[in-house]
Amino acid sequence: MDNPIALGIVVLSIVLSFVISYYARHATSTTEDFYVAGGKVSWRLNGVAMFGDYCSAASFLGVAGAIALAGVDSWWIALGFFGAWITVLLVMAGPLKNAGKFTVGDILVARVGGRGVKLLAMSITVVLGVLYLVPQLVGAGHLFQLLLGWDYTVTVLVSGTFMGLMVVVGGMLGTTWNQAVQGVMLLGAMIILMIAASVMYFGGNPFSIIAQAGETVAPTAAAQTEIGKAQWEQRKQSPEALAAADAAPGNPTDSEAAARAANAAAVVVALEAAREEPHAAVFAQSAEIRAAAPDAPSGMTAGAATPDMWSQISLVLGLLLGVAGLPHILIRFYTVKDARAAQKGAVLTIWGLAIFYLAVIFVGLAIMMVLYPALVGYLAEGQRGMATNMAVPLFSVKIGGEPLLGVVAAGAMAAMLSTAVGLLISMTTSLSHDAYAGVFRPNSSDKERVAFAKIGAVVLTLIAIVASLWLKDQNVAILVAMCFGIAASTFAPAILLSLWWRGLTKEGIIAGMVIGLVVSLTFTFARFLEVPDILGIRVLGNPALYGVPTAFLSMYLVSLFTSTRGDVDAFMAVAHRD
Amino acid sequence: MEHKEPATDSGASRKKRTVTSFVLLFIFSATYFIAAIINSAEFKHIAGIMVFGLPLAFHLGVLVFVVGLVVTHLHLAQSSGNKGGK
Repeated sequence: MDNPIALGIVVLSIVLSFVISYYARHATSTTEDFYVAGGKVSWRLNGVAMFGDYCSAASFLGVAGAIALAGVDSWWIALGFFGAWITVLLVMAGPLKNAGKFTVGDILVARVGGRGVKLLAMSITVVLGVLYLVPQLVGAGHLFQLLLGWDYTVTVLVSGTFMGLMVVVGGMLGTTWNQAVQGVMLLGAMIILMIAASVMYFGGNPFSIIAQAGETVAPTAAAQTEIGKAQWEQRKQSPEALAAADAAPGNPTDSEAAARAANAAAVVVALEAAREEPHAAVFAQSAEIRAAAPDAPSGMTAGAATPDMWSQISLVLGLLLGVAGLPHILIRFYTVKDARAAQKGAVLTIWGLAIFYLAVIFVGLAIMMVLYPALVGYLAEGQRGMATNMAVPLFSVKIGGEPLLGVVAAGAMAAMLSTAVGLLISMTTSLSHDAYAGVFRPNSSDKERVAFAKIGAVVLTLIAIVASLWLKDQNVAILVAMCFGIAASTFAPAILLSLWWRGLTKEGIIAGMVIGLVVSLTFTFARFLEVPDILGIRVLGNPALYGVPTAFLSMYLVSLFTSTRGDVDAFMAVAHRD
Repeated sequence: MEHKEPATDSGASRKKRTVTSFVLLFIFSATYFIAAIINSAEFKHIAGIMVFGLPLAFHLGVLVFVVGLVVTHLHLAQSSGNKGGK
């Protein structure tokens, strides 16, 4: 076992989560308890739980890693993640709590009625949930393979099974407490990293990190320089790296085996650099690169890594509305007693996110400078994905050894699990409430509905595990991109217009969500298939710029020519009551 | 009349709350999108202008957080006012 202390900390955090679920088991007997913890969660607990639910591994590892590689430009992802919550708070949280009960479909059905809307909402919830859940499990499998040497299949099986158990045993109350504990762990780990980096390497002043990053060539640029490549090649000749390359499986004449050998060597060199290399030596290397490339962009150079204006607008629009359409986030507003509590919980989450994402810029830039040789090396090998995911764990090894690696690994596991259980419970609630009780068996008992939800959780867990094993070597980023595109182009416009536009009709909702779904999926697939344009329309990095306006426009136009509006006055009175 | 007055107050209060929510959303969205556009490749010369020793891009990022938090508290204060008035 490579890292027994780190492993122990991870196992301890998992046991803690299970104990929490076990003690919450009494709160899973009625549908209301199982789906939304009886609506009795305090706003403080809900605020922290929403933070834990929202901060996936992409936030915890991905954003800091991306900043470490490309500098301040990568911060925009974090700003988008943050901005979405302002929209949710201002125009959604209160009315959503007032008008809904268990699921996103409740809002739409309360507004216009109809089984078709309910089934469509359930289908989109399940599709979004599975698309978002699979990358969490795939990410966990790869991450723990790198961090602790665990086998991918075992990791996916263990984390998937554990995720299912947490939901089946603990219901929404257990999920809430787990997400809250995991949220505190995530925020704590990020703050510890920021303070430790400042104290150990930058004289205790976080702003020194910013100042020094302004002098350092960003690793993405450094890896392109001749001197950067030469420095890396020199490191790969170390005895440890050569031994790792020799030990890599496969025939060395085979290109795939050669890539594995290079990969093994890169991991060893990066780990050695992270563990052993004195900081002065690291700074000397970055100074050498700066001297050789005086005009190269630094970690604080703006615009060097951001896309063109339309791609940037599409990205931030997708983030702003995509998050506002994610069912596992929206369902959390039903767990508190009233609209006021929903809003206060959202404010607490917003504060948590602000602190977290402000800390991320300092941590990301500190990682850039402290792990400079390792990051440049990964990039020189063309392993950007690995560099992004490994930046925070390698940094934790550097500053706190194995115990801090354990804390970070536990944080990464917490990030994955809290998001995954949130997704799973939102899907099972929608399946049971919208489909089973709402359409197929309206006269079913409370007990039958809870049993159906639990069976649904088991089935969805199995589907997610099988899909994660099947998609092991695929680029799962497409799934996350699809998720945001679909949410921004379906639920977000439908919910916003339901809550605020009296003219919306049932036909408008269905047409808008279906058209938004088709447009966003078309442009997402086109992007991943590297199709430059569709019918002369340029394919951007994110489909939101096309999907969102199309969905809104479809809802508006179809509503103008149809009339199934439901009891608008009654709905608006309930949704917007004080 | 006695029954209508509270309803009118409630309607006016709801309208005021709605307008304020959307004004606050507009203020935040404007800050957010302007900052994002300035940070795109076309406007990187503006984003790179140094202000107090740091690029404008960094200040704009911090501004998004600050405006977000201010807007959040204005919204909460308004909601509290409505509750208090009841």
